[in-house]
Amino acid sequence: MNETRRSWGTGSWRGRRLWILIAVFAIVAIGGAVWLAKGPWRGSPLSPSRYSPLAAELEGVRGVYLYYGLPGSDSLVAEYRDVVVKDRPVDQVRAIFRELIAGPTGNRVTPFPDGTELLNTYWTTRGTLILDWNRTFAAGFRGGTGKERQLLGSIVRTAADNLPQVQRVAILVEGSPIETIGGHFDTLLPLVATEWR
Amino acid sequence: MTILRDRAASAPSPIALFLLVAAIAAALPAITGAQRSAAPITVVYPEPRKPERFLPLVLDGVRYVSTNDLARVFGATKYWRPELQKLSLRFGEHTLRLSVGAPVVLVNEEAKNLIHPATLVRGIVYVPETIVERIFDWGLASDAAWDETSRTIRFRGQVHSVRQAQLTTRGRVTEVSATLGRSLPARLLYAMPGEVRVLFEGGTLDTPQVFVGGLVMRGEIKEIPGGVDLRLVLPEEARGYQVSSGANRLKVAVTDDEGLVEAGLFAPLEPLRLGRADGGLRTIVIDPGHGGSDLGATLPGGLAEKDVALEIARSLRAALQGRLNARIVLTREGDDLLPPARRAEIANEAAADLFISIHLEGDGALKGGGFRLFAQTPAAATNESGVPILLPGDGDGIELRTWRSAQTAFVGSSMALAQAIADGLAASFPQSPILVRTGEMVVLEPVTCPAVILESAPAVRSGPGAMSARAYTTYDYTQTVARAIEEFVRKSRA
Repeated sequence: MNETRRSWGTGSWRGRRLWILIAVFAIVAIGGAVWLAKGPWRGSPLSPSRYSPLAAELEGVRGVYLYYGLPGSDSLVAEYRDVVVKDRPVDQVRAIFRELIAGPTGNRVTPFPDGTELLNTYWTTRGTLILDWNRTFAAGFRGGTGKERQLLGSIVRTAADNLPQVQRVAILVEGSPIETIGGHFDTLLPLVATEWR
Repeated sequence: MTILRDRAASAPSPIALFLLVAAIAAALPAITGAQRSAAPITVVYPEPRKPERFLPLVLDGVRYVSTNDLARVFGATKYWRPELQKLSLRFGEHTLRLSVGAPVVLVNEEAKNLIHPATLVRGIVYVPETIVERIFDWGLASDAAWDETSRTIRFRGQVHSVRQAQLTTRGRVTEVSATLGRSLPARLLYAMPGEVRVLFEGGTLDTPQVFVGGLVMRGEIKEIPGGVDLRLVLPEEARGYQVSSGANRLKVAVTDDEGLVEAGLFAPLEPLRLGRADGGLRTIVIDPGHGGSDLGATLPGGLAEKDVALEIARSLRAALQGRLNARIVLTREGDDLLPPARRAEIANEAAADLFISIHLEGDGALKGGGFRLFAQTPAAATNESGVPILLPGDGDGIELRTWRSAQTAFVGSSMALAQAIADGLAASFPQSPILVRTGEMVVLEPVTCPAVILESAPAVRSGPGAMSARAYTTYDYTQTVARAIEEFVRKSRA
């Protein structure tokens, strides 16, 4: 009897401690993995955060390509982003350009002056998208030919790449046509999408 | 009892420990519900968009793809109703609706069987991978195809109208030819000793290329606004050129055989005609950009573009006066606000033979120490304002042109001038990036002579007293430009 007690007592302490450690490790590992996979921060399957918040049936999420400037160049690069859009094409245009004006996420530059807002959008049946900007869009622009090229290219390519029906983009500022934004490119008449590829 | 004591007291062997950890690792996915990935699906888009790959999941032995991936690849809009667990994907005019847990989808409101149900994994709706192929069967995407063998979605690229350009030499003739997808009008921009440039209007190019060989010292074919631009730099001995654009092939050939030119088979390479009918070059107009309340770009050190442009314009005037016997006019001598149209008007009123608009870039859209030149786009002028302007005619009286298309007649010589200045800058400042572009430039459109915008980006000093490798002085810059213009004018008189 004494022998038995001793075997579960001090004599076997090191071995028992190791088994306990292994058991604790296993429990923590399994529990941690379950928590990582299904924990509340993942969002419950009934409320998938990926698609929230969507308020109405006519609101959806679509991926869009937004064009921003490359530093040290007058070229543009596309950035993919999911945006919440409504069903009407005009609302989609607003959502896409709101996201474009919000700025890039990576090592890219926005060609839009601070405070730029898109006031209105109009469509013509012949594939011309008319974008009416606030005064800051033109008055706040400070840049050379390259920056202006990026600004107009960003607008035209973002519109044409995400809205296949767009062939030309016309620029208005507070409802009126504008001869030029930065003094270099002609913006009086619509910009042809194929010439801004 | 002794045996019991021995087993209980003994420490677990490293092998047992390893087996236990391995068992836990193997069991984790099953315990946590984590999924195994299947072989990736590759998506090949038309250039310049890069191909991508996405990973399906294997759930209960069935391969599933994420509706997020499908929406991204096919440009579909996702509409999610969380309370109903329903997802709609809008592919243009078509709609695909599905419910989590249901093995059926509605394609344009018509039920289609998926066999396996859509499922929600970590907040994302997954559908059986077989849907990828069926998206094409159902007509939801028409501009791509699914290749089961290579597991690739391949989007059909734009069919370029100019393809497979190549250079060949036969005897004393060197030609660049390409296959045409459709007939394209060929527009000769300029052909002068040492250079030929042709625009294939409205064309698109499969691959930009550079050629060297035969009589072509350097050739370049690329897409620009308005079409496909082919430029061939030739040696002095080149004598003639030939341009043809047939139903399915384009060709630009050059020769150094005087006999072929005399026989009329090749057109002679003749100097560009600048200035008045008598060949004289009398007036050059330099336009310092911006002015007055229009500050232009902000340059390093807080300088305004308008002030530095004026300084450069004055320096260029001095440099040109020393080289050319011509009147040099500045559109503004002080800090005046001039609309673009007025600048062009000044040039036209002065009967300018060359027009140079001076600009600067300071916001990082051009590398410090770099240069960029713009000529008016050679694209067909479709935007006519209908406002007529007067042009001095070559013969009897005047000629009328619309304001916005006045530059059209000079686009070729403007591009040649831009290229000549770019070549001069490249020779003097070999480390500086130099770009030659075309566009609808508001100040160039109405100008009735060869006209360019010349833009520079000041290099920032790298330290006190130290200049960066691309730094230059205004004097060096304007002397280089003046020398290039002088050379251009000299060639035109040759």
